[in-house]
Amino acid sequence: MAIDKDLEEILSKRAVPEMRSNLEHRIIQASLVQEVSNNAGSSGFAIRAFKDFIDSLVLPNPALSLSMVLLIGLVLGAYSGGVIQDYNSLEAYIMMGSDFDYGGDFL
Amino acid sequence: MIIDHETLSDEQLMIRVQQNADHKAFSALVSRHTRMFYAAAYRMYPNQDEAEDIVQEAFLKLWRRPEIWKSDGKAKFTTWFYRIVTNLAIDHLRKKKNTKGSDSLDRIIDNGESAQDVMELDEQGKAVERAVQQLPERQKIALNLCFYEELSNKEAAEIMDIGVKALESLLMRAKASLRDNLRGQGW
Repeated sequence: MAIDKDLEEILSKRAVPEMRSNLEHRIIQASLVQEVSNNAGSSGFAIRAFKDFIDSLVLPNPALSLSMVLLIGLVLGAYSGGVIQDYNSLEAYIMMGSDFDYGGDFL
Repeated sequence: MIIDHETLSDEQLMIRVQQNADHKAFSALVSRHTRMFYAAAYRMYPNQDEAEDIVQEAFLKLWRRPEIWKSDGKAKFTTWFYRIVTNLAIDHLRKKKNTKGSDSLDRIIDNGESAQDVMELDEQGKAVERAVQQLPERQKIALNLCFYEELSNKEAAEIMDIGVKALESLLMRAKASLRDNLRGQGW
Protein backbone atom coordinates (compact mmCIF):
# COMPACT_ATOMS: atom_id res chain seq x y z
CA MET A 1 0.00 0.00 0.00
CA ALA A 2 1.43 3.36 -0.97
CA ILE A 3 0.88 5.11 2.31
CA ASP A 4 2.93 8.04 3.57
CA LYS A 5 5.72 7.27 5.94
CA ASP A 6 4.33 9.39 8.78
CA LEU A 7 0.83 7.98 8.44
CA GLU A 8 2.30 4.50 8.34
CA GLU A 9 4.10 5.21 11.59
CA ILE A 10 0.91 6.49 13.20
CA LEU A 11 -1.11 3.49 12.02
CA SER A 12 1.48 1.10 13.42
CA LYS A 13 0.64 2.37 16.92
CA ARG A 14 -2.59 0.47 16.70
CA ALA A 15 -2.11 -2.62 18.83
CA VAL A 16 -3.84 -5.97 19.14
CA PRO A 17 -3.88 -7.54 22.62
CA GLU A 18 -2.69 -11.12 22.86
CA MET A 19 -5.42 -13.68 22.45
CA ARG A 20 -5.97 -16.17 25.22
CA SER A 21 -3.46 -18.95 24.88
CA ASN A 22 -6.07 -21.71 24.83
CA LEU A 23 -8.16 -20.39 21.94
CA GLU A 24 -6.86 -23.01 19.50
CA HIS A 25 -7.58 -25.75 22.03
CA ARG A 26 -11.06 -24.36 22.63
CA ILE A 27 -11.85 -24.39 18.91
CA ILE A 28 -10.57 -27.92 18.46
CA GLN A 29 -12.55 -29.17 21.46
CA ALA A 30 -15.71 -27.45 20.24
CA SER A 31 -15.32 -29.05 16.82
CA LEU A 32 -15.13 -32.52 18.38
CA VAL A 33 -18.59 -32.03 19.86
CA GLN A 34 -19.91 -31.03 16.43
CA GLU A 35 -18.32 -33.92 14.61
CA VAL A 36 -21.61 -35.79 14.27
CA SER A 37 -23.11 -33.09 12.09
CA ASN A 38 -20.16 -33.11 9.72
CA ASN A 39 -21.39 -34.42 6.39
CA ALA A 40 -17.99 -34.94 4.86
CA GLY A 41 -17.38 -38.32 6.50
CA SER A 42 -17.95 -41.68 4.83
CA SER A 43 -21.32 -42.31 6.52
CA GLY A 44 -22.34 -38.74 5.74
CA PHE A 45 -21.46 -39.33 2.14
CA ALA A 46 -23.87 -42.27 1.90
CA ILE A 47 -26.69 -40.21 3.40
CA ARG A 48 -25.96 -37.32 1.11
CA ALA A 49 -25.83 -39.61 -1.93
CA PHE A 50 -29.23 -41.06 -1.00
CA LYS A 51 -30.68 -37.57 -0.54
CA ASP A 52 -29.20 -36.48 -3.86
CA PHE A 53 -30.80 -39.51 -5.52
CA ILE A 54 -34.21 -38.71 -4.05
CA ASP A 55 -33.84 -35.06 -4.97
CA SER A 56 -32.91 -35.98 -8.51
CA LEU A 57 -36.18 -37.82 -9.07
CA VAL A 58 -38.56 -35.90 -11.20
CA LEU A 59 -41.55 -36.80 -9.07
CA PRO A 60 -42.25 -34.47 -6.18
CA ASN A 61 -42.06 -36.22 -2.83
CA PRO A 62 -45.83 -36.55 -2.13
CA ALA A 63 -46.33 -38.09 -5.57
CA LEU A 64 -43.39 -40.40 -4.98
CA SER A 65 -44.84 -41.53 -1.65
CA LEU A 66 -48.24 -42.13 -3.19
CA SER A 67 -46.82 -44.14 -6.07
CA MET A 68 -44.78 -46.24 -3.61
CA VAL A 69 -47.89 -46.95 -1.53
CA LEU A 70 -49.85 -47.92 -4.63
CA LEU A 71 -47.08 -50.21 -5.82
CA ILE A 72 -46.78 -51.95 -2.44
CA GLY A 73 -50.56 -52.23 -2.23
CA LEU A 74 -50.71 -53.80 -5.67
CA VAL A 75 -48.06 -56.38 -4.82
CA LEU A 76 -49.57 -57.24 -1.41
CA GLY A 77 -53.04 -57.46 -2.92
CA ALA A 78 -51.81 -59.75 -5.65
CA TYR A 79 -50.11 -62.04 -3.11
CA SER A 80 -53.08 -62.22 -0.72
CA GLY A 81 -55.48 -62.83 -3.60
CA GLY A 82 -53.46 -65.87 -4.59
CA VAL A 83 -52.86 -64.57 -8.05
CA ILE A 84 -49.10 -64.66 -7.87
CA GLN A 85 -48.92 -68.02 -6.12
CA ASP A 86 -49.96 -69.70 -9.34
CA TYR A 87 -46.91 -68.28 -10.99
CA ASN A 88 -43.30 -68.84 -10.24
CA SER A 89 -42.44 -65.21 -9.89
CA LEU A 90 -43.66 -61.68 -10.02
CA GLU A 91 -42.17 -61.38 -13.48
CA ALA A 92 -44.24 -64.27 -14.67
CA TYR A 93 -47.34 -62.64 -13.22
CA ILE A 94 -46.60 -59.40 -15.00
CA MET A 95 -45.85 -61.20 -18.27
CA MET A 96 -49.10 -63.12 -17.92
CA GLY A 97 -51.00 -59.88 -18.36
CA SER A 98 -50.19 -59.88 -22.05
CA ASP A 99 -51.86 -63.32 -22.47
CA PHE A 100 -55.27 -62.19 -21.27
CA ASP A 101 -57.83 -61.80 -23.94
CA TYR A 102 -59.98 -59.17 -22.30
CA GLY A 103 -63.66 -59.57 -23.14
CA GLY A 104 -62.98 -62.36 -25.59
CA ASP A 105 -65.64 -64.63 -23.98
CA PHE A 106 -68.35 -62.21 -24.79
CA LEU A 107 -67.68 -62.13 -28.44
CA MET B 1 0.40 -44.62 5.49
CA ILE B 2 1.12 -42.07 8.22
CA ILE B 3 0.65 -38.49 7.13
CA ASP B 4 2.51 -35.64 8.74
CA HIS B 5 -0.14 -32.93 8.66
CA GLU B 6 2.35 -30.23 9.51
CA THR B 7 4.07 -30.69 6.17
CA LEU B 8 0.88 -30.33 4.13
CA SER B 9 -0.16 -27.02 2.61
CA ASP B 10 -3.35 -25.29 3.77
CA GLU B 11 -5.09 -26.35 0.59
CA GLN B 12 -4.05 -29.99 0.99
CA LEU B 13 -5.33 -29.93 4.56
CA MET B 14 -8.63 -28.47 3.40
CA ILE B 15 -9.03 -31.22 0.83
CA ARG B 16 -8.52 -33.79 3.58
CA VAL B 17 -11.11 -32.05 5.74
CA GLN B 18 -13.55 -31.99 2.83
CA GLN B 19 -13.05 -35.54 1.64
CA ASN B 20 -12.36 -37.47 4.85
CA ALA B 21 -13.57 -35.19 7.65
CA ASP B 22 -9.97 -35.44 8.81
CA HIS B 23 -9.97 -33.86 12.24
CA LYS B 24 -6.19 -33.79 12.45
CA ALA B 25 -6.08 -31.76 9.27
CA PHE B 26 -8.64 -29.37 10.71
CA SER B 27 -6.64 -29.11 13.96
CA ALA B 28 -3.50 -28.33 11.96
CA LEU B 29 -5.30 -25.47 10.19
CA VAL B 30 -6.58 -24.13 13.51
CA SER B 31 -3.13 -24.28 15.13
CA ARG B 32 -1.51 -22.66 12.11
CA HIS B 33 -3.86 -19.73 11.61
CA THR B 34 -5.83 -18.88 14.76
CA ARG B 35 -3.45 -16.14 15.88
CA MET B 36 -3.43 -14.44 12.48
CA PHE B 37 -7.20 -14.50 12.07
CA TYR B 38 -7.75 -13.42 15.66
CA ALA B 39 -5.72 -10.27 14.89
CA ALA B 40 -7.75 -9.70 11.72
CA ALA B 41 -11.02 -10.12 13.63
CA TYR B 42 -9.82 -7.82 16.41
CA ARG B 43 -8.97 -5.08 13.93
CA MET B 44 -12.50 -5.28 12.58
CA TYR B 45 -14.08 -5.56 16.02
CA PRO B 46 -11.74 -4.30 18.73
CA ASN B 47 -12.94 -6.45 21.56
CA GLN B 48 -10.97 -9.48 22.70
CA ASP B 49 -13.95 -11.71 23.59
CA GLU B 50 -15.82 -10.88 20.42
CA ALA B 51 -12.74 -11.34 18.23
CA GLU B 52 -12.12 -14.76 19.73
CA ASP B 53 -15.77 -15.71 19.24
CA ILE B 54 -15.60 -14.61 15.62
CA VAL B 55 -12.55 -16.77 14.91
CA GLN B 56 -14.09 -19.74 16.70
CA GLU B 57 -17.35 -19.33 14.80
CA ALA B 58 -15.47 -19.11 11.49
CA PHE B 59 -13.48 -22.29 12.11
CA LEU B 60 -16.50 -24.22 13.35
CA LYS B 61 -18.43 -23.13 10.29
CA LEU B 62 -15.59 -24.50 8.20
CA TRP B 63 -15.65 -27.79 10.12
CA ARG B 64 -19.42 -28.21 9.92
CA ARG B 65 -19.61 -27.33 6.24
CA PRO B 66 -16.21 -27.85 4.61
CA GLU B 67 -17.86 -28.00 1.20
CA ILE B 68 -18.23 -24.20 1.24
CA TRP B 69 -14.55 -24.03 0.29
CA LYS B 70 -14.30 -24.53 -3.45
CA SER B 71 -11.01 -26.00 -4.50
CA ASP B 72 -10.51 -24.87 -8.07
CA GLY B 73 -6.73 -25.01 -7.95
CA LYS B 74 -6.41 -21.23 -7.61
CA ALA B 75 -8.24 -20.47 -4.39
CA LYS B 76 -5.80 -19.82 -1.60
CA PHE B 77 -7.19 -20.98 1.73
CA THR B 78 -6.13 -17.91 3.74
CA THR B 79 -7.53 -15.46 1.19
CA TRP B 80 -10.85 -17.27 1.26
CA PHE B 81 -10.88 -17.55 5.05
CA TYR B 82 -10.19 -13.82 5.47
CA ARG B 83 -13.47 -13.27 3.71
CA ILE B 84 -15.29 -15.59 6.13
CA VAL B 85 -13.75 -13.89 9.17
CA THR B 86 -14.34 -10.37 7.80
CA ASN B 87 -17.98 -11.09 7.01
CA LEU B 88 -18.58 -12.58 10.44
CA ALA B 89 -16.92 -9.59 12.09
CA ILE B 90 -19.18 -7.25 10.10
CA ASP B 91 -22.23 -9.27 11.18
CA HIS B 92 -21.17 -9.04 14.82
CA LEU B 93 -20.52 -5.30 14.52
CA ARG B 94 -23.89 -4.65 12.91
CA LYS B 95 -25.68 -6.64 15.60
CA LYS B 96 -23.83 -4.68 18.25
CA LYS B 97 -24.67 -1.38 16.58
CA ASN B 98 -28.33 -2.33 16.39
CA THR B 99 -28.50 -3.27 20.03
CA LYS B 100 -26.38 -0.49 21.49
CA GLY B 101 -27.02 2.55 19.31
CA SER B 102 -24.80 4.66 17.16
CA ASP B 103 -22.15 5.40 19.77
CA SER B 104 -21.39 1.72 20.22
CA LEU B 105 -17.95 1.95 18.62
CA ASP B 106 -16.74 4.32 21.26
CA ARG B 107 -18.16 2.06 23.90
CA ILE B 108 -16.49 -0.94 22.34
CA ILE B 109 -13.15 0.85 22.38
CA ASP B 110 -13.46 2.78 25.61
CA ASN B 111 -15.75 1.07 28.05
CA GLY B 112 -17.61 -2.00 29.11
CA GLU B 113 -16.41 -5.45 28.41
CA SER B 114 -13.37 -4.37 26.42
CA ALA B 115 -11.94 -1.99 29.01
CA GLN B 116 -9.30 -4.48 30.04
CA ASP B 117 -8.12 -4.92 26.45
CA VAL B 118 -7.92 -1.23 25.81
CA MET B 119 -5.95 -0.53 28.97
CA GLU B 120 -3.05 -2.21 27.25
CA LEU B 121 -3.10 0.36 24.47
CA ASP B 122 -1.55 3.72 25.06
CA GLU B 123 -3.43 6.92 24.34
CA GLN B 124 -2.03 7.24 20.83
CA GLY B 125 -2.99 3.71 20.01
CA LYS B 126 -6.51 4.38 21.25
CA ALA B 127 -6.76 7.51 19.12
CA VAL B 128 -5.66 5.59 16.03
CA GLU B 129 -8.05 2.78 16.86
CA ARG B 130 -10.91 5.24 17.19
CA ALA B 131 -10.01 6.95 13.92
CA VAL B 132 -9.87 3.63 12.06
CA GLN B 133 -13.13 2.43 13.59
CA GLN B 134 -14.84 5.63 12.46
CA LEU B 135 -14.01 4.92 8.84
CA PRO B 136 -16.84 3.67 6.62
CA GLU B 137 -17.02 -0.11 6.71
CA ARG B 138 -15.48 -0.83 3.31
CA GLN B 139 -12.66 1.66 3.76
CA LYS B 140 -11.84 0.05 7.09
CA ILE B 141 -11.80 -3.44 5.57
CA ALA B 142 -9.56 -2.27 2.73
CA LEU B 143 -7.13 -0.62 5.13
CA ASN B 144 -7.05 -3.62 7.46
CA LEU B 145 -6.43 -6.09 4.68
CA CYS B 146 -3.79 -4.09 2.83
CA PHE B 147 -1.95 -2.35 5.62
CA TYR B 148 -2.31 -4.57 8.68
CA GLU B 149 -2.74 -8.00 7.10
CA GLU B 150 -0.19 -7.06 4.44
CA LEU B 151 -2.16 -8.61 1.61
CA SER B 152 -1.63 -7.49 -1.95
CA ASN B 153 -4.21 -5.20 -3.52
CA LYS B 154 -5.26 -8.07 -5.76
CA GLU B 155 -5.88 -10.40 -2.81
CA ALA B 156 -7.73 -7.73 -0.83
CA ALA B 157 -9.88 -6.92 -3.86
CA GLU B 158 -10.67 -10.60 -4.24
CA ILE B 159 -11.70 -10.88 -0.60
CA MET B 160 -13.92 -7.83 -0.89
CA ASP B 161 -15.28 -8.99 -4.22
CA ILE B 162 -14.39 -5.74 -5.97
CA GLY B 163 -11.90 -4.67 -8.66
CA VAL B 164 -8.38 -3.54 -7.87
CA LYS B 165 -9.18 0.02 -8.99
CA ALA B 166 -12.14 0.20 -6.62
CA LEU B 167 -9.94 -1.07 -3.82
CA GLU B 168 -7.30 1.56 -4.54
CA SER B 169 -9.99 4.20 -4.45
CA LEU B 170 -11.18 2.95 -1.03
CA LEU B 171 -7.61 3.07 0.27
CA MET B 172 -7.13 6.61 -0.97
CA ARG B 173 -10.30 7.75 0.74
CA ALA B 174 -9.43 5.89 3.94
CA LYS B 175 -6.05 7.57 4.00
CA ALA B 176 -7.57 11.03 3.47
CA SER B 177 -10.20 10.44 6.19
CA LEU B 178 -7.57 9.24 8.64
CA ARG B 179 -5.40 12.26 7.95
CA ASP B 180 -8.31 14.64 8.59
CA ASN B 181 -9.41 12.79 11.69
CA LEU B 182 -5.97 12.56 13.25
CA ARG B 183 -5.13 16.14 12.33
CA GLY B 184 -8.30 17.17 14.11
CA GLN B 185 -6.98 15.41 17.19
CA GLY B 186 -3.77 17.44 17.08
CA TRP B 187 -1.42 14.94 15.39
